Amino acid sequence: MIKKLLIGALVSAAFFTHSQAKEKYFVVERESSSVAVIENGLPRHHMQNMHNMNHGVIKFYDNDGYLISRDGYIVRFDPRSEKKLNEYKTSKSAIGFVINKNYVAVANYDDKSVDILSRDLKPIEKIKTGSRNVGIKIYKNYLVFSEMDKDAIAIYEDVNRGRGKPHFKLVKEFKNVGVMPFDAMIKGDKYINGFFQSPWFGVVDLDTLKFEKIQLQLDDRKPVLKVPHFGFWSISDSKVFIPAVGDNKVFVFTPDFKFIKAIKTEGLPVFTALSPDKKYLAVTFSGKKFPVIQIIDTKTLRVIKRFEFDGKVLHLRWSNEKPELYISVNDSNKVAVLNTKGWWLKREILTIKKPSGIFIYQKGK
Amino acid sequence: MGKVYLTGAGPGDTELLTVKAHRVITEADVIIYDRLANPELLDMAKNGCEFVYVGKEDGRHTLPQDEINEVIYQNALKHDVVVRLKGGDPFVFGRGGEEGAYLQERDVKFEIIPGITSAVSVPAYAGIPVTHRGVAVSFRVVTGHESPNKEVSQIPWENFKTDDTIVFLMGLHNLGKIASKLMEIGKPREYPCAVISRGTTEDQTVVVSTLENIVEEAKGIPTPALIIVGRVVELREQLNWFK
Repeated sequence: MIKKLLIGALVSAAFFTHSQAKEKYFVVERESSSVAVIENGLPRHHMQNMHNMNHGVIKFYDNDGYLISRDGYIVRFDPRSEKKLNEYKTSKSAIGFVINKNYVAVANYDDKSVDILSRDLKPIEKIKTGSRNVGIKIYKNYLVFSEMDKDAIAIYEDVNRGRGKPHFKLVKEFKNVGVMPFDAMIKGDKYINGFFQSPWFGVVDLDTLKFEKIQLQLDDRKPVLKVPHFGFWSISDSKVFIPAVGDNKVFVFTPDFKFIKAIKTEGLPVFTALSPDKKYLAVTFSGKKFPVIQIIDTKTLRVIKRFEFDGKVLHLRWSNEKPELYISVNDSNKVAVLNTKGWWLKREILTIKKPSGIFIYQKGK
Repeated sequence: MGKVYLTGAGPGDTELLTVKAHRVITEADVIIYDRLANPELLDMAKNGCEFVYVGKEDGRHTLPQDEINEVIYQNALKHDVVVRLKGGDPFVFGRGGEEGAYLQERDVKFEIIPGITSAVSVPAYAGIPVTHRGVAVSFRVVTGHESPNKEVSQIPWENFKTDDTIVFLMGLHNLGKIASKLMEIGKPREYPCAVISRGTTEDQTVVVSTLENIVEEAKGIPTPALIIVGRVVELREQLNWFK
C-alpha cells in the first residue's frame, strides 16, 4: 500500500514539477500606490511607489509594461524583473494612454493637452488641444482622441509615418459630434465614441474620414439613453454586450447594432468581460450587488451562474491559458480565482491590499 | 466540523514530500498554503479543492498570524479536510504550534504531518552534511529573522562559541549582522560559510565563502536562502552532487 502511494506521489510530483505558468498577473493595489505581481498562484512581488492608483491602468507592449496613475504619472517597468524603470509626469491628471513601436501618447485632463513621449518616456512633443482629452487610440499613422470640452473628435497624423521620431499634425477635427464625449473604442477601421449627454454614439471611418451618429434602440424603439464606458462593453464575432446604465439589464446587439435581447441581471451592471473562447460573459454590478458576479452563457443568453463574495468586486480578468477567472475583491483584500470548467472557487490570495484592476502579461510573447 | 492537517511541504523539491502529506493533499477540500510551499504541490489536489494563499513576503507581513489562525478555523467550520501546507516542517520556525493551540482551544481536531526541514535537506542538496565524523558532532538551527517586534534579541550568540555547525534559516537580509556577531564571539574571519538560495529546486544557487567575505560574495542572491557556518562547508568540494 505504502509503496503504491509512494509511486503515486513520485509520479504526480515528477509530472507536475515542470508545469510553469506563462501568465503573470499585475494587480493594482488601489490605496497603497503599489502593484502586486501574481504568478503560479503566489504573490511574487509588490512594485512600490506607483503614485495614485485610483483607476490605475497597465498596458504591455513587447517586453515593456506601462502604468498610468490618476495624478498624471506614466511609469515604465520591466514585467519580467518586475522593476520600475523610469517615470514621467505629463500633467496633474491623466486617464488614457496608447503605445506603439515608436511612442507613447498620453491624453491629459487638466492641462488640456496630449503628450507624445518616446518608448522610454522622454518627452517628444505636447499637443495643446484646449480641452480635456479622452478616448485616445492609434490607427495606422493616426492618433485619434475625443475633446471633451469641445464636443469634438481630433485626428492627428504622424507626418514621419512611423519612421524615426514622430511628429504630429492635425488632419481633421470633427465638431459638434455630441455633448461631452468621454470614452471611445476602435473596432477595425472604425473609431466609436460615447457621450455623457447625447443619446447616440459617434463613429468615424478612419479610412474615409467620415463621421456619423448611431442611435442604439431597443426592440420597442426606445433609445438607450446613456452609453457607458466602452471598456465595459464586450464584443464577440456575432454579438455586442452592453451593460445598461441605471437598469438591471445587459443589452445584446448584433455587430451592426440591431437589438437582440435585454438579459435581466441581479443588479445594475457595470463591467462585462467575455471569456477567451467567447462562450461566457462575466458581469459585475454596482450598489448593493457590488459583491456579486453573474455568468451569462453567450449562446442561450441566460444567466447560468452566480457568485457572491465578501466584499466589493472591482474588476475581473479571464486567464488566456487556464480555465480561470481572476476577481478583485476590493474590501476583503483578496484576489479570488474561479475554476471556469467546474465553476468553483479555486483559489483565494488573501494578501493583496485593496485590489482593483487586473492585467495579464504573457511571458515569452 | 472538519479536521485540520498541519502539514510540512518540505524544502522545495516536490519529490521531498512525505507519503502522508501527499495523501492529505489529494484528499483536501481546501489547502491553506504559504509562500515557501511549492505551489506545484497544489496540482496534486482533487478537482474542486479550494486554495487559500496566506503567506508572507519578506518585509511585508500582510496577513498577521492571528488572522491566519482564524482563516484556518473558519475553513475547518466549512470543510471536512483542511490542509494547512507550510514550507519545510510546521514545527521548525513554522508557527505550527500556535496554529495547533488556536484549533485546540476551539475543539477543532488537528494532526501534525512533519515535513523535511530545509535546515538539513538544503545543505544536503548543496553537498554539505550538517554533521560529519571527525569534523562536526553537533549542529544548531537558528532563526536568521527574529520578529522585529522583539525588544531584546533571544538569540544567545555567546553560546555559539563552541558549536560545530550553525544553520540560519530565513537570514539573508541579516547576513552582515550574523557574520559580524559570529566574528565578535571569536569565530575566525576565514571560517567557512555558505549561502544556499532556493535550495533543492532547479534554481538552487550556492555561494561558498568565509565570514569575512560572505556579504560581498552573496550580494544579489535571491530569497529564500539558508546560511550555514562551519568546517562542514568545506566538504562540498567532494560531495557536491546536485547540479
